[in-house]
Amino acid sequence: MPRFSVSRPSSLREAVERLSSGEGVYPIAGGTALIPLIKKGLLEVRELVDLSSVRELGAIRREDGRVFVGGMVTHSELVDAAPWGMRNVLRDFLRNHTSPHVMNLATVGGSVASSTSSEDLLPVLLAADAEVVLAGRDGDHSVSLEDYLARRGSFRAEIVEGVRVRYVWDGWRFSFSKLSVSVRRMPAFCVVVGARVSDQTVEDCRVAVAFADGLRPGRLRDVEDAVRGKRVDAVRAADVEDAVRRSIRPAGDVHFPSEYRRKVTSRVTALMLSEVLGA
Amino acid sequence: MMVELKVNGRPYRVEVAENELLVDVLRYRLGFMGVKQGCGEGDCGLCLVLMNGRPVHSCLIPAWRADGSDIVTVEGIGSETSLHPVQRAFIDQGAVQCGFCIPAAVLIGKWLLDRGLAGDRETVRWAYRGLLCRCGSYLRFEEAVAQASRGG
Repeated sequence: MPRFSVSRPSSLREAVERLSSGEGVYPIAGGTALIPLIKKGLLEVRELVDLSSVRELGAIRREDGRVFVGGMVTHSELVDAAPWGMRNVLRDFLRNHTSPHVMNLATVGGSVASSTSSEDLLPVLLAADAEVVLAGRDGDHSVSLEDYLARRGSFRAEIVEGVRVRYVWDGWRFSFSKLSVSVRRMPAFCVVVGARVSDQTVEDCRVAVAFADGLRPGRLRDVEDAVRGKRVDAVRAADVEDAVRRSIRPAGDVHFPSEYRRKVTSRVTALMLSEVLGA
Repeated sequence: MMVELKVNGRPYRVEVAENELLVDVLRYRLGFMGVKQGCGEGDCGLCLVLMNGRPVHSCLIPAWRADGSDIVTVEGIGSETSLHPVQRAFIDQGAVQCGFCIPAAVLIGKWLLDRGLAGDRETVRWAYRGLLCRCGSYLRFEEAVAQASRGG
C-alpha cells in the first residue's frame, strides 16, 4: 500500500478539523470500501482520519419517532441493537445477502459515504426515509439521503455523523431482494419495496433500487406516485415493470450489462410489489 | 506506531507502519502462515481471523486498528496430538481438497461452535457465504460443522 499518515481524533470536532486540513485527507470508518481503493491506487491518500475513537459516532438513540444511528455503528450492531420498524427487511438483508465477516467491519456511515450501488444498505435506508446527519466546520446539518446521494461531491469536507430513520412503520410490509455473484461484488440488482394497504387501497409505498442512475442508488418516486392511491387490483405488474424501466439508467459491467440490469430490476420490482400488496 | 496484540493467547508488541495491514503483520512479521493472502480486498475471505471473538477479514484492517485486540488464527486452535473438534470433523468428512481456504473455513466452524450456532444449517451456510472455496467443498464444510455440533 502507498504510504500515508494517520490521525486518531477522539472527538467529532477534532475529526472535522483534521478533514479540513487539506487535499488527500480522508476519514476511515470500517475500511471495507476504502482500503481496496487505496490499494488499487484509485484514491491518493496523504492522511487517514481514523474515526474509531470518536464516541459520538457509536450512538444509537430514539428521537421523536425517529432513530439516530451513529456513523460508526457496524451493520451487525445495527441489527443487534436497533429494533426499528423495518427490522425484518434489515434482518433479511443481513441474513441472506451479506456475511458475518463483512457485517462486523462495514459501518452505516461508511456505506452512506461510499454512495455506490455495491452498498446494499442504501436502498434499505432510502426506503426508510433516512436523512443523513453531517458534521462540518460550520456545525451539524442534515439532508435527505436522496439529496446526499445526488450531491455527494458537495459534502466532501464533512463527516457522516449518522443517519436518522423513521421508527414507526405500522401496517407496512417490506421486501428486500438482491442477486450477486459474491457478497462483496457489485450485485446484478438490489431492490427494496414497501407498501401500506388499507381497504384494498395502496395508501403509501416505497421503491428503492441500487442502480437508479449509473452506480447511484435512488428512490423511484415516479413509480411510487403511479401506484399510490390505487386499488390493489388496479395495480398491474406490467405497468409497474414499464414504469421502473423508464425510471432507471443502470451502469453496466463485465458481469451484468446495463440492459440486463434494467430488465431484471424492473421485473423483480414488479413481482416484489405484487407480493407486498398481497395481489 | 507501537501496537500490542494478543495472538493465540500470547502477547506481542510490534512496531508497525501506518500503511501496514493486519494480514501482513500476522503472516510475515509474526509468522502465522495459516493467515492466507488471497484477493486482498475482502472478497475471498482467506485472510479471516477471529478478532475479539468475531470473524473479520484481516486484509481490510490497518494493523494499528488492531491495537489491544485478542486475535485467534488457525494455529491457535487444536494441536498435532489433540485436534479441535472442527478440525477432526473436517478430516472425517473429507472436507479438504486443495486446502488453501481451510484455515479460514476451520475458524468459521469454530466461531459457529463457540456461539452455539453450529446446529442450524441455514446459519452455517450464511457464515460460509463470505468464504470463496475454489474446490466447492461447501457441502462438506456443512457436514463437518454439523458433526462437530453433535459432539464429534
